[in-house]
Amino acid sequence: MRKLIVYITLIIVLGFAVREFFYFGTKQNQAGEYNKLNTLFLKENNYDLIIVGSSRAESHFNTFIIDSVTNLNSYNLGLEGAEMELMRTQLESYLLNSKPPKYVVLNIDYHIFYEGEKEDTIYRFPRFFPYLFYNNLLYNNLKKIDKRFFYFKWNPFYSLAHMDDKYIYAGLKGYMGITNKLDEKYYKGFTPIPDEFQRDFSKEKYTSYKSSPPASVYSCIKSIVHICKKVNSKLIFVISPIYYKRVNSITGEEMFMAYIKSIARKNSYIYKDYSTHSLCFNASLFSDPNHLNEKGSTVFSLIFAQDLYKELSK
Amino acid sequence: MSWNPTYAFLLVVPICVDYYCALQISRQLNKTKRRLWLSASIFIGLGMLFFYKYTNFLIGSIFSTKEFSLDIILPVGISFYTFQSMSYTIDVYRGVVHPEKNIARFALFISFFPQLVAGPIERFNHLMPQIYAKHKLHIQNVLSGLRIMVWGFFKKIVIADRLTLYVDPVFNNNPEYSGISLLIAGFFFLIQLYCDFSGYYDIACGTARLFGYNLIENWKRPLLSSSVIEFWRRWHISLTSWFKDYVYIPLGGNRVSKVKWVLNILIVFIISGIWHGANWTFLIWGMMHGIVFILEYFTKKVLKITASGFSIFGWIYLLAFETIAFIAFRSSGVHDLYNIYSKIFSFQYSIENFISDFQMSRFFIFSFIINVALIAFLFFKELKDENSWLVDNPSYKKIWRPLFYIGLFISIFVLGEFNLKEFIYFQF
Repeated sequence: MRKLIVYITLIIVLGFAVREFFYFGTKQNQAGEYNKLNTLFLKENNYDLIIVGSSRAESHFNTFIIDSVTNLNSYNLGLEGAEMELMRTQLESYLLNSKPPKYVVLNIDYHIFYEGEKEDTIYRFPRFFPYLFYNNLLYNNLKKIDKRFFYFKWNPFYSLAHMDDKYIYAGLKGYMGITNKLDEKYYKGFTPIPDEFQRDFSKEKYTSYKSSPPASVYSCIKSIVHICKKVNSKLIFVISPIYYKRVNSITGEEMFMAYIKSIARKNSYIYKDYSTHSLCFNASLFSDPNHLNEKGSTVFSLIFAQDLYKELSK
Repeated sequence: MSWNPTYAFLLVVPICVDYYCALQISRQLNKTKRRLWLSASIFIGLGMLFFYKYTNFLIGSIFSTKEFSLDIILPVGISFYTFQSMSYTIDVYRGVVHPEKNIARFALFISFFPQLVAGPIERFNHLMPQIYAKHKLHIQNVLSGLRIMVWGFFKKIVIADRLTLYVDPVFNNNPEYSGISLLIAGFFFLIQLYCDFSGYYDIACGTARLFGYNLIENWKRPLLSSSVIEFWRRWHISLTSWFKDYVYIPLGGNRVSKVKWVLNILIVFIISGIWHGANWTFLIWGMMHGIVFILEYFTKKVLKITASGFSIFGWIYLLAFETIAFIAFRSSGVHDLYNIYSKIFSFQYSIENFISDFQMSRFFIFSFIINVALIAFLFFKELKDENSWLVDNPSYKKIWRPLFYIGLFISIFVLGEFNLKEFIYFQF
């Protein structure tokens, strides 16, 4: 029996050690998504402008161009698959260790709110595992969305079982200093979509649907506004370009957009809607109907940065 | 393939029928009546198996359309427990075993949970004495059972399920892949199938061992064989020996003319192929094995080869043949099989084709290298077990063996593929 107890103890200790080995490696990544997560959850930062949002924010806002045009020091916190609750977590987690920025750009994805659709977990959730012990706010917020995060934090075997090769590779990549294609053009959180990901969407059919954000989205917006007010950061609402056929297929977003506009008006926040901009009609600027390609992001970032500069100079 | 509580009835039928038939067989002195009860047992058992497994195949073959197919779900484990139950009545008829009078014990013999869904096909005289014996919890049994289970889980979750990620896309979209990728997928499938099926056996065997039971040997490291004949002495032994005892020997075995013997071998392999499922590809797989088995037998006889044991050339030949044969097993239809074979046998292999098939990224290379390393590790472990290396080494038993299995246990979580892939043999 003593033998069995020794084995079980050894297994638990080794389980934690092996998991920590991969987490530590992940945190060594100097580029790409994990570098951004390190910045977001572990580092003390001091940026003038941060961009919060999903993959659209991540791949549309070129921080190099924004910095050059506006003379601000910006960072793109956009995370692939981030929904509104995760966006709030992004902002809160950033503010936990960093100096509040002057401006917070919130990229609104009104087209992702399908009627009645609600994910019960977070997209690609294992990417957050290495930070659960270091950022309690992140842990508590993620646990609210998905209760399994308690086990992901405390049971090494449960979390290891959910980490597929991609996450193991991320750990090893960190130790070896390797970068992948997405990492190569990474700059201060901005990750353009490489040409290899270009999809031929010319013949794609767009089924129309009603955009109906759930109540939680409204309360998240409210709480983001509250957080920004508290730290004295100015919020900038942006709807970045989406391909016009995709935009045309969505109905019912007016109420939600009116809500955003009313907040912007009430608080004197900047509101910029590029969903009807002429570049939305140019398919060659898109990687897929929802994302600009590298060329598109350059064009958009330049337009956005100039608009922002004008607005801030007023 | 599925499980539904109402299908438990299908387990009750062979239990009741074979329990009663076996009692009647033993009570009757008249040979015709004994034969009649045996026929009734076989007819009901095979009838059920045939109905659930082959009806739609037959309808599809006759009408060349799936329009008339019946809405039948193949009950999990039916092929295994039907054969197990059938072997019992045949053994009672032959006088090899005495009929079981306690129906609860007999029901336990048929439905013994570790091996119910995918074997091994137990024999009455092997399992029943263990059911009668008293079992106590022994730490040695627990540790040994856990070791076997860990190795089984490793084979299934780490090796088999990881290989699936490569094998499935290639086979499911085979027209898009080149010969080299298909050949590699064929080899990976051979390993996947072995690890999946023998992994299940190890888990079943380990579970049974926890309770003090020993299951019949089903695998003897078949991928280390040097010939197809040897391969069949090591692969899915409980099914092979079932066919030997209940099909091959009643057909006359090898005590018949050479022509009849050849026919007997072919019959056994064809039935073995069809047992796996209602598809022409299984029949082709069985036929291929039957033909090569016979050719090997005569070649050895003509060349007077008597040497047994491991030969590197024999091993390479075996792996090459089984890779090709198991491609038939994996293919979804004859058309697919033809397409795959024509690409493989065009012998236009190039690394460039392989690279363009997978648009190689660093991540793909990383995953591929892990898979190759795991296969190498599998062969190393099998060689170690085959040659009983380190068995007598006290430091191995005391230190290295526990560390090895603890490492194996942790690597299941690190390298395993946990997207709930069911065991391949659940469908048979």
